[in-house]
Amino acid sequence: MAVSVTVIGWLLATLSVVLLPHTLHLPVWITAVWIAVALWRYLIARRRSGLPPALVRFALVLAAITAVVAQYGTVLGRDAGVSLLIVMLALKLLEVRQQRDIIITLFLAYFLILSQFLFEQSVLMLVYLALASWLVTSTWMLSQQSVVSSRRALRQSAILLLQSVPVMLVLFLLFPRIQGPLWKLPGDSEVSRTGISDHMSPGSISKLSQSNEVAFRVEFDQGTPDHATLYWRGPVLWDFDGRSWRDRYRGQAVEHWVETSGRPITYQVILEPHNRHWLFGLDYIIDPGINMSISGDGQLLAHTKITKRIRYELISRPVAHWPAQLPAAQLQRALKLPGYGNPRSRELAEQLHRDYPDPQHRIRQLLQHFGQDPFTYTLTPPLLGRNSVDDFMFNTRRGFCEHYASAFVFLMRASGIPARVVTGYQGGEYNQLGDYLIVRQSDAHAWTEVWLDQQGWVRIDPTAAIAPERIESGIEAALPDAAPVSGLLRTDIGFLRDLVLAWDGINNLWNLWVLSYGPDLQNKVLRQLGIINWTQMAMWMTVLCSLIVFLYLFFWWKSEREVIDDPVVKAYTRLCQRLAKLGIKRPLWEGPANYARRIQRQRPDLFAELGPILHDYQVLRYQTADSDSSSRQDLIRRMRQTRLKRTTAV
Amino acid sequence: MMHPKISTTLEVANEVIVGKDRQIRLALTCLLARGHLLIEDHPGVGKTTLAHLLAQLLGLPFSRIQFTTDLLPADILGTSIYDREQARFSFHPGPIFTSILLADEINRASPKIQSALLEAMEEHQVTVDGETRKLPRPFFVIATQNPEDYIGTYPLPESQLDRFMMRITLGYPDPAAERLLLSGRNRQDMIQELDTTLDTSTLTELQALVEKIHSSDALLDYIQDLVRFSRDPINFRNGLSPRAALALLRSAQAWTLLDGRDAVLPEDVQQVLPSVAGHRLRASHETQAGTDLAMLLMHAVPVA
Repeated sequence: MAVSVTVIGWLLATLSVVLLPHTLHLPVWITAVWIAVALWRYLIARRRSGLPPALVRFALVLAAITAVVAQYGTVLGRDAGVSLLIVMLALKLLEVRQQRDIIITLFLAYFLILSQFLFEQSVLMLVYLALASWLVTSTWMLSQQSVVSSRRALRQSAILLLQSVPVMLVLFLLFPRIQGPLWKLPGDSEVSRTGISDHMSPGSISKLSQSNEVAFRVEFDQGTPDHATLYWRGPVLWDFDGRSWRDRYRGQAVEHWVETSGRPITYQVILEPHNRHWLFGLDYIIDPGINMSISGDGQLLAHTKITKRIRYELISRPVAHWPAQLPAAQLQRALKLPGYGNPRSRELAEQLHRDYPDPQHRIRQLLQHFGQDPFTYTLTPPLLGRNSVDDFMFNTRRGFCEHYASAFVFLMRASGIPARVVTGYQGGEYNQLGDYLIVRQSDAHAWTEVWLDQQGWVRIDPTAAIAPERIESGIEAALPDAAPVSGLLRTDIGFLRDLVLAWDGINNLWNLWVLSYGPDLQNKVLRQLGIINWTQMAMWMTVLCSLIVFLYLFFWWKSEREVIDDPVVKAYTRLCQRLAKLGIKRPLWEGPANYARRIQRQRPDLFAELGPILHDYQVLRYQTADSDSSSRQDLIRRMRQTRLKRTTAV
Repeated sequence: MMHPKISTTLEVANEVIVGKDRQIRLALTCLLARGHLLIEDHPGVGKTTLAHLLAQLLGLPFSRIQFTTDLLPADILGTSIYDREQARFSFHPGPIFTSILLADEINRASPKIQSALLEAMEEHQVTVDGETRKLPRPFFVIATQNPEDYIGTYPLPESQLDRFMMRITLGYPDPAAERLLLSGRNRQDMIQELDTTLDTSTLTELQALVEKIHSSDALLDYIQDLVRFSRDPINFRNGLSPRAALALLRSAQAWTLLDGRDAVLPEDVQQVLPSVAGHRLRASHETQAGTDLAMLLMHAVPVA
């Protein structure tokens, strides 16, 4: 059977929809090949001209393979494989003659839809690809002869896909999961991701703050703590080279982490991948989970790089019991400064040391200095010269958190107080709809810790001295409206804000329950359901899928039979069912008069009693214009009460 | 009770065409329901005889057109001819101006002729030279055709087929009936000698009665169920038109009247269904090929 122009048109449109998202990450020439071949095929269909000869098609296939190899050096792997699939699908169009070819093409389209998940797994993409599947299924229906109109094909395929949803859910929940992410090929290139880096130089955090990307989400077990206390500890930076702060020992656990006390806070962090080791938590974490460790300066580190979204649970307590004295090695590190540079700052530090011998006074004095002098908190500070601390302290006086933290630690060390820079995130946005906290890259922050004897490491946030709003309510409040904050979401409109939060909530659920539904989570969920081994899993899977299919069959069978709402007909149908058990089955299409005649012929013994009833039924239903309810009730009663016993001997 | 004139008619007809009482009954049903009749079968099984017989028994003016490929519309509708004495055109009506038109081998005529019949069949009038002329009443077309795969036939278009209320087939006679045919008198002679058994006034009266035969809501439901089922493209390619639904009701009413009852039963619908729906349905799957589509329809729609 030849393929109509309409079906070819639908096929080309559907495939274009399927391919569209692929065009974003594949070379342009592949899109060009697709458009060219699709147009060619459409013209062939319109003009009813012949398909290109086999030799031409063969040459095209060779050319396509060559081109893919030339592009990628291979035909294997994600990008090369998908590219090859697309060009081959395009060339397959030149062979589409019969319905069989269309079905092959459409199955390739389903496969392409799946392959899109190797590139992206967002909710939006899911919706788009679900629509694409709908189109593919509709085209398939349309290519079948029996379904005529496109509207009908769309409706029927929608019903078909919706009917498949329960089976899909059962398989999703119960089908055994393998270790590793659901959608990844081995050897996928590691993409660079935004996030806190391992060093801090002027401008690094303010740059990060322009990104609205989610860094991680947090669910607290008992209410979200106060915004000002939410310091998400990341890399702790000890070593200053005059410009950048680093951690030379990369958070090695030089000594054990401290004992903690106070009211514990339990929370789960869902961390977006950032291709680094560190994890984020509130001070002071007790007992990190498996696959992670905590260093002596409180950095929480994963054993492997975070390349996929992970979820971990932490418990923190507000008080740490530090040793009375800082160990010598740490003391040395916490006081070390480059041998040269920033003379004015050193001078200021010495002056502070002279004027305020008590370290606590010195700290307070310096913070006051930040607060009083014309220091400004801004995302776009001017560039700093070689003596960056001096330049900032005495010339520009405009800076972001990293400038203040850097200058503060420098001055502390220069005045003899051990100090270090801590980077991480501060605050976060509470999502009421999902009851969790969103921490974005724009919440990236740098603060400091100073060592005070008898007190241990004390957190000092110089930013709080200049822009307390930053700590109280977040970065948006702290930055004046005039500041150019491109990329930062600044929505004062309530409903838009709610919309954004709702959308984030959906994404969070999607991440939590779909994308991270691996073997561990599956185990946990199934255990809750009382399924503890794979035989039970297989059994449940089989039982549930069969049940769903059975239910569909039942409803289909039920809808095939007309819904009877006339009680008289209902009683008659029941009577027929009783008679069927006696061997006189009425086919559904048999009219009452014929049925009565057949009973009379086959079971004259029953007919003596049944005859008048069946006759009255026939009269009531087909020979009376208006039947009164009492005669109807009477007939129903008689049909119910007849005993179907032999009344006369034959 | 069956109307005496109907029973007489059936009796007489059964004497002439032996062993085909069901087909005769259906043909009469069709005429009582004011429908046109299409008789389809192989040559020589008595199609023309049946048409001829009906005309004779109804005592109505009758003309017969043998359809051929070279027939022109004027040959059946009539032409205007210039009258020299009166110095004007006068219309010479064609054979269509009659009460019973026997269109023999209708599918041998070109589509042009077939469509000339359309207006006459549906509206009981013809338009010649821009002038519309009424046809006499009653007006029946009894058409015969050979099965479509015969050489030199133009299959009737669906629009034309839909205008025939019923299509019946005669089939070969059984051995006993065939023996009677062989040993008995010439059928044409017998028909010539027959008297009218159903005069025009009785016919008109009976036709009026047909529409008064009671059809309950339950029955109309059944007819609508049949029609709805036939329209699902999964079941059939061509469903039953509203005209077909009406034809089904009228012919079921006429069948009931013929049977001497006063209310239509589902069984009456089922009796006429193969003849009313058979030529209107088209298979949608190849698997349906060779099956009786009307029976398929009947067995698929439940009734109670």
